[in-house]
Amino acid sequence: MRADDTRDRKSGRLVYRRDFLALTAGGTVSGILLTGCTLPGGSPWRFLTPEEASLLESVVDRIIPPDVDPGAAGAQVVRFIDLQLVSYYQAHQETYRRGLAALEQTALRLGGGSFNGLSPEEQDKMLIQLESDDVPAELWSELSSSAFFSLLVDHTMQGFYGPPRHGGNRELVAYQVVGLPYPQILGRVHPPDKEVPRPRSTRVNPAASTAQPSR
Amino acid sequence: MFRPKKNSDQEDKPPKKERGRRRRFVFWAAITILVLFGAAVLINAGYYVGSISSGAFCATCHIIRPSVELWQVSTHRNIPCSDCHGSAFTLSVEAQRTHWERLYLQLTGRLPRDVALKDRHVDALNERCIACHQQAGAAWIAGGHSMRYRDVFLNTQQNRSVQLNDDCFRCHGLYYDRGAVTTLVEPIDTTGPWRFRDPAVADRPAIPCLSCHRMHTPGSPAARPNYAEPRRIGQTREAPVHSLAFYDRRERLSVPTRQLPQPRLTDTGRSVTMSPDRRQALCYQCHAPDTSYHVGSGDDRTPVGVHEGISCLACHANHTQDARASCATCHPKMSNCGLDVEKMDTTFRSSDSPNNIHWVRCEDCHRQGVPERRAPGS
Repeated sequence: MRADDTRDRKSGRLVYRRDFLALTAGGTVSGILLTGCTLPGGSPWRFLTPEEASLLESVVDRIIPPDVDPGAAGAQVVRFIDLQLVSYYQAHQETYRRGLAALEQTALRLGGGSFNGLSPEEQDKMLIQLESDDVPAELWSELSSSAFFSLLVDHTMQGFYGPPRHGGNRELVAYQVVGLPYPQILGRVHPPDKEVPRPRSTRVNPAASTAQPSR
Repeated sequence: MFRPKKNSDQEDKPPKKERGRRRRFVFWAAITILVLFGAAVLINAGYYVGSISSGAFCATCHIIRPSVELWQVSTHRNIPCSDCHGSAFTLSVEAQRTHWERLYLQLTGRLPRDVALKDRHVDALNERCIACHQQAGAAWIAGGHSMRYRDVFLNTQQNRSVQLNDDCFRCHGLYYDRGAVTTLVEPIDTTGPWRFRDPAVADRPAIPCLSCHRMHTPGSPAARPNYAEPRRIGQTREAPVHSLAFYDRRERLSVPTRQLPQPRLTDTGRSVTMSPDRRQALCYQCHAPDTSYHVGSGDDRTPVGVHEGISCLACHANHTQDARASCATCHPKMSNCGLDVEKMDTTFRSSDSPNNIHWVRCEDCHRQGVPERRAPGS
């Protein structure tokens, strides 16, 4: 603290100004902070970089490609993986970081361009090479490409077919694809309301059917 | 020459000219900072006010961006987010606390997995829905879906027959977000007396609007038909895209009726003719048959007999569930016997009748045999 601060405090004159200045400065900083907070264009990903996410979308969409129904990318499988990588699958963070980088390098070397820029057939061919460890060894020295591919398949399946609460299976798309009725129709667990007359046939044979719900 | 002695304070003070310069410096620094601060506030406020109506401000938060994108193509696209969700400029301590909590989590990197409505938010939203949709709100209050938590969870007759359990939340208290039923009511047994752990929940709606309606769903605002071709209005009118959806508490997701399963019921081995009305898939989520999928089992009211194949919503009004006008809507054109059906011995006339209106058959009244169907016009 400077000497003149003490003097000013004693005189009781500049104190208010100083507080005012501090508030003003604080307000300005807050304003700038909030402006930065609301600037559009922030990455929607928690672990992945936008480039990694884009690459991963292309990969998972070859594992479960779209047809009349959305594929893995449309089902937000990448969102599922990204969410899991900062929670339950933190142990796989480094695998994804290295694996995706190596995949891109492999595409550049073998395919002559970025993986995203390859045709679906070329992407499939590259993923088959990944699965069979038929890739440049120097690019995959720290990680087995087949193990990485296997991990990708596992996580894609989990994200696509798992409950949407985990981040994937957007709008229950997987359940629609496989024809799984959801939410299931489940009768109440309580004794029948005696005040409501049952249909005549129910009184005769109350459990005659094993019919299943349809979609 | 006499020179007055200065006190120590005066001795420390810089010359008057320097003090004046310093004060001017502080003054202009303050003015500069003030101008900067004002500009920052104005830019923020302008950005906020300008973008709030388009949802752009809300969409800057990537977590709720999908919701904003759905709202932008919804029936409510012309209604600002703040009209339903409230704005930052609120005097509500609770809302301000929530806002600061979220800002703190955002700045510290502890982002929530998803942004979902809490039960207290749903209560507020319910009031805002009704503020605009007053007729629907009045019908909902008068109907059978306006029960409060106290009506459901402190119902002595119900609690004595079946012990309260978590499955109750599937249809009652769909947005209850504090966990298991043990966090709501005590004791959990069939003897009682029962009371809420937090008495504040007693008047909370057990089936709020958002239980059956999904707001962020594609749809078009109402538009006038093309009066240039008035005779074609009926044929060219767009089918309404309704917001009906069932809120699944487990997934914290509203499932639209087009995705909900329609049961295929049987009646003593016979397959029951079901109405193709997709809307009733919503009814079946709670008014469901038991695992036998036999008509009339569980809480199912699928019509068989003379009303087989009719949709729930053909008779029941959508918010009151009132069916008083239903007979007049169809009868006597569809009546086979020419009687005043409203006066026949069914539960439509009296709840004491043994003939449930959902399942009444010709044989229930014609015990000696059903007469031949009359020819049309006879």
